[in-house]
Formats: sequence, structure tokens, C-alpha cells
Amino acid sequence: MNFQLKIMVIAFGVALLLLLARLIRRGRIRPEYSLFWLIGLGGATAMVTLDRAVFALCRALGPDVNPFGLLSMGATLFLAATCLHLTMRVSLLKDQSCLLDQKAAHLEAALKDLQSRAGQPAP
Amino acid sequence: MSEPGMRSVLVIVPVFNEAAHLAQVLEPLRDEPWDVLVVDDGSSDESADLAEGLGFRVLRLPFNLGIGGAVQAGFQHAATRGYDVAVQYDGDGQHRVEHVGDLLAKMDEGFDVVIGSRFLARGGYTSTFPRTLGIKLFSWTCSRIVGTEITDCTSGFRALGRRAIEFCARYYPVDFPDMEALLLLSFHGCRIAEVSVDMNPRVSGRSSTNWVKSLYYPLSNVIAIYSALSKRDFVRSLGRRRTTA
Repeated sequence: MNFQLKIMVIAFGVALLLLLARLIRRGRIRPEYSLFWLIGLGGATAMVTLDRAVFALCRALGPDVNPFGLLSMGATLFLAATCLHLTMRVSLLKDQSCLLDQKAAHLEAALKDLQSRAGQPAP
Repeated sequence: MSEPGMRSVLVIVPVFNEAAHLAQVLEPLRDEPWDVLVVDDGSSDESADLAEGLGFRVLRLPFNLGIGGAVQAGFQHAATRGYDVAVQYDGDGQHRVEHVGDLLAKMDEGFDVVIGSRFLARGGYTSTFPRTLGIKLFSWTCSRIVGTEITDCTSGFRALGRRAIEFCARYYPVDFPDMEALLLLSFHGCRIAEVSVDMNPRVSGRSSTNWVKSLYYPLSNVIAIYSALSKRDFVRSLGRRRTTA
């Protein structure tokens, strides 16, 4: 990778890091989930910065190993694992919000019943 | 509650942004002896207020859960209030009130679930060829798994008895409910039957026969079958525990 491209990728990584910090500060991302981004961002930036060392490491695994293919596969697996984890979290949250939604509706209906029995106006 | 001495029946009508046609859908239910529960699935229009203004009981979900979550809220209401029968009745005007009596009459024969089928009578219902083929294929698959002939596994017009209500109040599958719910109810030991019904063209909402739905429908049903089969042992054990108790 040439020097200009490397600088661009590192600048992009730093910008993303700053954006991440800002989103955490504003409460738009929970710190728990920022870990994924830090790991992903850190890994990607390290690979770009140390590309020669990473390529050499890949080649050391065997003469038939294609460093590009190996790195692409690693990145794809990381993305897939992250998506899977997030899907599991979203599924859990959906179950929980569904339960809360239904409970809120039943409680509101029960409150209305009580108020109508007591002769008070419904909220 | 419905008339004393008779079984209590709750008609559950899930609605989502149906204000334009809701009066037309609910009006025929007004003079019937059953209780009606309108479940407003987080509508952004006046559906809930309109139904309340017409004198119907309304359960207001704070935000949209989809048809499965809304219907389950209706079953929860039926379970806690001790209704004997709950009838699912679409808020888009497709279901005919005169067939509710047919579903209830069939339940008297000792069934736990009665489905209003569009395909039981030959030539009764017409849709696009791929859709009809899909429904028939999945109904055939469903019949083989359940061991009872089912011709319309995706019909949302159903009557459920006490045992099925209690099950659905807790374990109703909210994502792809129609087919998975049938399979789970069958695994739970519920007896399932069908009666022939005609359906109106929908008075509101969008048709589900666009090409995206054509892809979505078979995939969702395959996932629903897999999901139901994976829960089979658990659901059967619930049924056995209930029988023992």
C-alpha cells in the first residue's frame, strides 16, 4: 500500500474514532457496543499501518497462502460474527420490548377500568 | 362478558392505521352477543379513539408490534379475563361476521382450534397463482406434520378454545404467527378443524401479493416450520404437564 493511501486510511480511522467518542459522550451509543468498533477499528488501522509485517506473517503460514484472501476471509468472519451478535441482541431487545408494550397496554386498560368504576375521567 | 349461562366469547380485532374503514369493519360486530376487543397496534391515526367512540373496548399498544404481538395481547386479555373462546378477526374487513357463528358451532364438536378456510369449498377463493400454490403447498406440509387435513394454514380467521388461549397468551409466535402457531398448538395437543368461509376483498391496507412478499412468504413459512419443529419437544412437554395436572 502506498504512503498516501496509508495516511488516508489512518486519517479515516482517527476520524471514526473521534466520531465514536462523540457518540458515546452524547449517549447515542452504549459504551458496551463501542467495544466492537474499537476492536474493529484498531484491528483495521493496525493492519494498514503494519501491512508489510501482516503480509509477511500470512506468507509465513505456508507457500500456498494468499495474504489478500486470508485477510479478506478474516475481515468477513469478523463482520459476520459482529452481525450475528448484534442480531442476537436485537432479538432479545425485541422480545423484551414486545413484553413491555403488551404489559403497558394491559395496565393502561386496567387503570381505565378502575377509573371508570370509581367515576373518574380516564387520563 | 357475554350472556350469562353461555360460553364467553371474545372477538379480537387487531388494527393498525385503519381509521378510514374501521367503522365499516366494526359496525357488523356491534349487535352480536360476543365481547369485542380492538387491539390498536400503535396506530398513528385515530383508529383507537374511533373504536372507543363506537363503544368498543380498546387495548392500546404504545408502539407497533406487528400482527403477532397485537393478537397475542388479545389472547393475554382473553386468558386473564377467563374467556372460553377467542376469535381472531382481521381489522382490514376481510372477515365476515356471519362466519364467526360457523367457527363457534364447530368448536362445539370438541375442537380446540377452528380455522376459517378459504379453500375448503372448491372455487371459493381466488388469488394469484403463485400465492394460491404457495398456500396449498404449505397447507399440505402443515397437514402432514399435524396429522389433520388443513387446507388454509395462513388464514387469520380462527377460533381458539380455553386451552389454546392459555397457550397463545404465553407462547404465541409473534414473528411469523399464522403457520407456526398452528403447528405449536397441534404439538400442544390441541384438536384442530376447519370450516369453509368466504372472505371479502380487503377494505383497507395493502395487498400482500407484491413480488417482495412473494419471496418473503415462502421463506418465512420455511423458517416458521423449522422454528415450530425445534420447539416441538418443549411444547409437547407443556401439554403433558397440563394433562397430568
